[in-house]
Amino acid sequence: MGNRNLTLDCMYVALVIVLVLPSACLTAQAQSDVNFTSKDTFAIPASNGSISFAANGTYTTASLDNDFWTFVNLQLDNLQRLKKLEVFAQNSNITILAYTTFDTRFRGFRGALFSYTVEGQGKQTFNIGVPLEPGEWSVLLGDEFKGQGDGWNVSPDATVTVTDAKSNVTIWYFGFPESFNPDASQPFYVEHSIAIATATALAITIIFALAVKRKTQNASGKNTLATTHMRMHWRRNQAGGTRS
Amino acid sequence: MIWENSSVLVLSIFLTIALVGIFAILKRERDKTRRVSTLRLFIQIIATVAVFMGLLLGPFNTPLWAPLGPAPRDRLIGSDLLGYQFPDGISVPILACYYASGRTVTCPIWQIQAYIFPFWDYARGYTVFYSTSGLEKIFIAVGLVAVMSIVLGRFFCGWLCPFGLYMDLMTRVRKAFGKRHLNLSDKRNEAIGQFRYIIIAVFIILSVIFGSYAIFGTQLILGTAPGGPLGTEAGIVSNINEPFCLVCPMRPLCVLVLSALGYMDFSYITQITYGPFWITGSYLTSINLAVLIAITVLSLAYRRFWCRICPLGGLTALFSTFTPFKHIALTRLHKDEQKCTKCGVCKRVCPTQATDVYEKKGGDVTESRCMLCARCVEMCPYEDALSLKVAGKTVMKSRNWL
Repeated sequence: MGNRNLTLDCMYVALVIVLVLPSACLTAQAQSDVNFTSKDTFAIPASNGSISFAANGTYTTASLDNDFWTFVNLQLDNLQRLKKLEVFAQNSNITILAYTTFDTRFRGFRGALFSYTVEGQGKQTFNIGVPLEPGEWSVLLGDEFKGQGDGWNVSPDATVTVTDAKSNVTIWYFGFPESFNPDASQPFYVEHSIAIATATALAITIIFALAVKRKTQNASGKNTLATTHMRMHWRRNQAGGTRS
Repeated sequence: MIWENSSVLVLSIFLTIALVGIFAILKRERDKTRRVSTLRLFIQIIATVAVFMGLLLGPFNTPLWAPLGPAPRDRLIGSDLLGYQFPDGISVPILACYYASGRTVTCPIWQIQAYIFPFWDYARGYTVFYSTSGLEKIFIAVGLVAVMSIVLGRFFCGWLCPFGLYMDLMTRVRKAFGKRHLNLSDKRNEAIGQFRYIIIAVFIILSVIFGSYAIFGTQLILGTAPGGPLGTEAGIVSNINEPFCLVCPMRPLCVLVLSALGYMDFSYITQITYGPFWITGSYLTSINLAVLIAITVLSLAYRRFWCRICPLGGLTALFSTFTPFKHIALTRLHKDEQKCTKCGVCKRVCPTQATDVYEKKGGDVTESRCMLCARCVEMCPYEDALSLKVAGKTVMKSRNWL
C-alpha cells in the first residue's frame, strides 16, 4: 500500500512540476534595465513638447534623435515589453497610458493598441513597430472614431501622426494575414471542409452506432433464444423425470 | 531553454507520465473498491493538464495581448489545425475556457453563444478571423458535441472535465474533515436536473435576442447593434456577449488558476473590464465569483453539485440519453437483473444521486444524470451485476469485493 501511494504521489508531483516549470522559466529573465517613474518627463525642447508615462516602468535605452524619443525595450508596469517605441510631440505634453502589440492566431496576423492623453493642441507622432502589411487603422479621438485624414494620418512606414487631439487618444491597428481572404473563391469542399468533415464524422458515428446496436440486439436475441431453449429443455427433462 | 522549442519533448514526457500512471494504477491498486476511483482521479488530473496544455507548449515570451503576459497561447493545434473556418478550438463537452488551452479545445457553450452572437456574420472577432458563417460554425460545434456524446456520453463529465475534478476535490476536502455528505430528496434532485435545460434555453434565447441585429437585421432590444473597431462591440453588448459565461463558475477558476501559476497577469482580471467590476467585467465578473463561491460551498455539502445543473452536461445528455440518441449511444451502464439483489449500494454511492441504476429492473440503466463515473460499478459487490459497456463490449464490471 505504501509503495502504491508513493508511486501515485511521485506521478502527481511530476505533473505539477511539468505544469509549473515553464512558469518558473518565464520569470527567470535577467535584464539590465533603467527604471523610471510616472513623474519622469522626457522633454523635446526644440518642439516644445514632452512625453511622460502613466505608470512606472523600465527601458534598456532612451535617446532623443531628430526630436524623436526612441525607447528600446520599454515596459510599463503590468504591460508587455515593447521592442521599440518612437515618439514625437510638438506643442503638446503627452502621457502614455497603455500600449500593446499582439501576434495571435495564425502566423502573420498582428495587431496593436496605443493609448495616451494630451495637453495642448499640437502634433504627435508614433511608431510602435507594427509590421508593414495590409491592415486597418482605427483612431478614437476623445469619444469619436475619426476616419483617416480627419485629424490623423498614417504613413507607409506605419508611423501615425495625430494633429487634432484634445484629450484621450486610442489607436488600434489590425493587420490582416496574407493568407486570409474570406472573399476568395475556393471550391465548395475546401471552403467548408470542416463542416463537411463534421457531417461525415456524425454520419459515420451514427451508422457505426446503429450497426453496434443491431449486432448487440441480435446477440441478446440469440442469448434469449438460447436461454428459452435451455429452459424448455430443462422443463422437458424435469417433466420426463417426474413421469419416470 | 529546452522548453521553448521542445513541444514534442514536453508532449512525450506528458504522455509517458500518463501511460505509466494508468498502467501503475491498474497493476498496483489492489483495493477493488478504490481501483476505478484512483484511476479516474488520475485521468481527471491528466485531462486537466492536457486542457491546460497551453501552459506547457511553446513558443514562450511571444508578445501577446499584454495583460495575459507572455503565455504560449494561440499557437496550438486548435487554431492551426482547423484554420479560419473554425479557429476557436475543437468543441469538447468539458467545462473549460479557451483561456488556458490556447483554444486547442473550447467549451461548446461559449462557442454556441459566440456564434449566435457576436460572430454571426463577421469575418473577425476578438482578434480571430473567420471564413465561415455563424450558422456553419454552430453546426460544427453542435456536430462535434453530438459525435462525442454518442461515442462517450457523459463520460466526459465523470472522467475528463476539469470542473468535475474541482467538484471531486471539494468532496475530498469534506472527507478530510470527516464530515458526511448531504443528499437531496429524489424529487428535488430530479427538479434540479431539469434546471439544466432551462439554463440552455435561456442562454440560447438571450444570445438570439442580443444577436438579433446581426441575425435578423433588427434590434430586439436597444444597444445590440454591432460596432466599434472589432465590428462586434457596441453598447450593452460588450458586457453580455455570452450570457452564460457571465455566470459560469469555471471561468473565474480558469482565470484564477492561470493568475496563481503566473501565466496570466492579475491585471487581466482587475483592469480589463467593461463597466464597473461589480456589474460585469470582460473576463471575470462579480457574478462569476459569487456563483463559484456558492457552488464551492454547495459542493462541499452535496457531491458534484454543479454537475447536477451543468448545462454542458445537459447538452451532452441530450445527445446520449434522450430519444433518438439513447438508442444508439455507445457508452452505456448496464445492469443484470438476475444478479442484482437490490442492496442499494449503487444508489448510495452515486455522486449525482442518479436513481435509475437502482430502480430500473435491468438492461440499460444510463440516464441523463449519470456521468458514467463507474463508482456504482466499482462498489457493487455482486459479480457482473453492473457493467460499463462501450460499443457493446464490457470494459468494466462489478466484482465481488466482499
